Amino acid sequence: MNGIVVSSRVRLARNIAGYPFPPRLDSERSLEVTQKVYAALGKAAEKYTIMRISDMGELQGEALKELHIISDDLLHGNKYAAAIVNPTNEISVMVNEEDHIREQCILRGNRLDEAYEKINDVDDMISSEVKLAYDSKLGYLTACPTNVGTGMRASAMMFLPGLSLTRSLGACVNAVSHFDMTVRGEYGEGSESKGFLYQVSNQKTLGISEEEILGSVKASVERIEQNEIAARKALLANETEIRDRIMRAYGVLTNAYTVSGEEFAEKTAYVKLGVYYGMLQCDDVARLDALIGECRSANLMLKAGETMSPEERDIRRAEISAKEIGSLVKRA
Amino acid sequence: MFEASNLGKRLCDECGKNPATYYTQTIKNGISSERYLCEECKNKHGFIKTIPDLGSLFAAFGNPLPDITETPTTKVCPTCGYTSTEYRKTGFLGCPDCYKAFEGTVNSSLLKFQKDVKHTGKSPKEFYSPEEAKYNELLRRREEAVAREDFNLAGEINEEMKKLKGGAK
Repeated sequence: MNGIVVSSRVRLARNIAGYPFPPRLDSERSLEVTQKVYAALGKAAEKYTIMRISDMGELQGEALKELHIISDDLLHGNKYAAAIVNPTNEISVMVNEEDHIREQCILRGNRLDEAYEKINDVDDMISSEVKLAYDSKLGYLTACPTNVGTGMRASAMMFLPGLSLTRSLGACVNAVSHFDMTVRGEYGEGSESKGFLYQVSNQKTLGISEEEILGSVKASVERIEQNEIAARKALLANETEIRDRIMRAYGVLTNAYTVSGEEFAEKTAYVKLGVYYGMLQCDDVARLDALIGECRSANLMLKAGETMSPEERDIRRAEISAKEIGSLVKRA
Repeated sequence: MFEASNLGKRLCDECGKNPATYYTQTIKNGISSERYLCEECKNKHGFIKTIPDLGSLFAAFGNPLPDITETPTTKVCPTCGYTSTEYRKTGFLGCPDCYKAFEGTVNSSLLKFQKDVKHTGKSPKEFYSPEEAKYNELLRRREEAVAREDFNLAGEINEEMKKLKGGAK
């Protein structure tokens, strides 16, 4: 495990036959859609929890978005939108987003096949209880034709400091774009992703089977991964500089009085790179990844149980960072 | 999908507190990235781009939809009343039946960005409405009764099936 693939996600877009798509649904039918999906998931072995956006505090919604459990469209779209999640939050079924149903499974690490298997089971469960909008020629019918067919988007969140720092990401992206892949920043945010996190996903959803989509995303991910490993080797040509950046990042994270969200993402990325090179020692990189989520603004405030000014947040983030990173990561 | 009217509801990516009033989108080395910012953070970080409308977004990506002038006739979906003009403008359809109603327009956009018009993946598990499920169950029980040569029971089930069929119309 080299930690290059941070997480794997598969989502399936579905709609209920005989209902207009969410933007054109009235309140009564929006609630019916939610009820139908929730009832279908009620037959699952594990207990699903329903979270209605309208009942959610602003902070809770933002915190779930930061963790990729719900999307921004769900949070700020239809007022009858809801998310139905399993106990581990790995499966999230979003209702009344762009489509009636967005089934998503997100797993840590490079586990696209497993994520598909899990969400496919959820899909079977829903489709045996709810009649889905499906056409034998066009497949699953979605609000936007860019998702029609399989309705499937398989994506891998990749940690790519080597390709970013050697400025070779562009060439790598061009190479995989021939396989109908797209590469974008973690939330699409920041012109340079501060944590060197990028999403690789399929673009095409029609005229391609689910297995073929998984195959092409996995092949692209593997190719990018190989390039990333080569780029990390190339970075060592200037070892003093890279080692200095890593140790400075570690110094900031364990000693600074304030750390902004962006700085935290950037410095943690360098620390992770240091662990990869063996310049720093950390036995639990997954915990380090989890910490990145916990230190995002809304999650930070939710955990503290209070809203804070940006300054207060930066102080709090620095405290958590010093404590957690100080005990998780050691000088090698 | 981007909608300028949604901007007011979205919070700033930078401070996570104020509503976003600015949107920036850049494609650098093939990586597309976007930011939603409030007035304060925009000034703080010196971003100068303002909210683009859908037209300029399409200009950045290349409009995935055929030009309105290519197909001037407006079609209306008989099920939901949505029009093909609205589809060309937004990229979204109103209901599943719109695919049939605007078949030509939808097919040309599918050819453009999916490079395909035929689904080859999974199909849904067989779904039956409660009435259909009950009818199928009665059918199964009638066959069992006939196999056991219990024609009285088979007759009773048959009557029930007739009622269900009449009622389910």
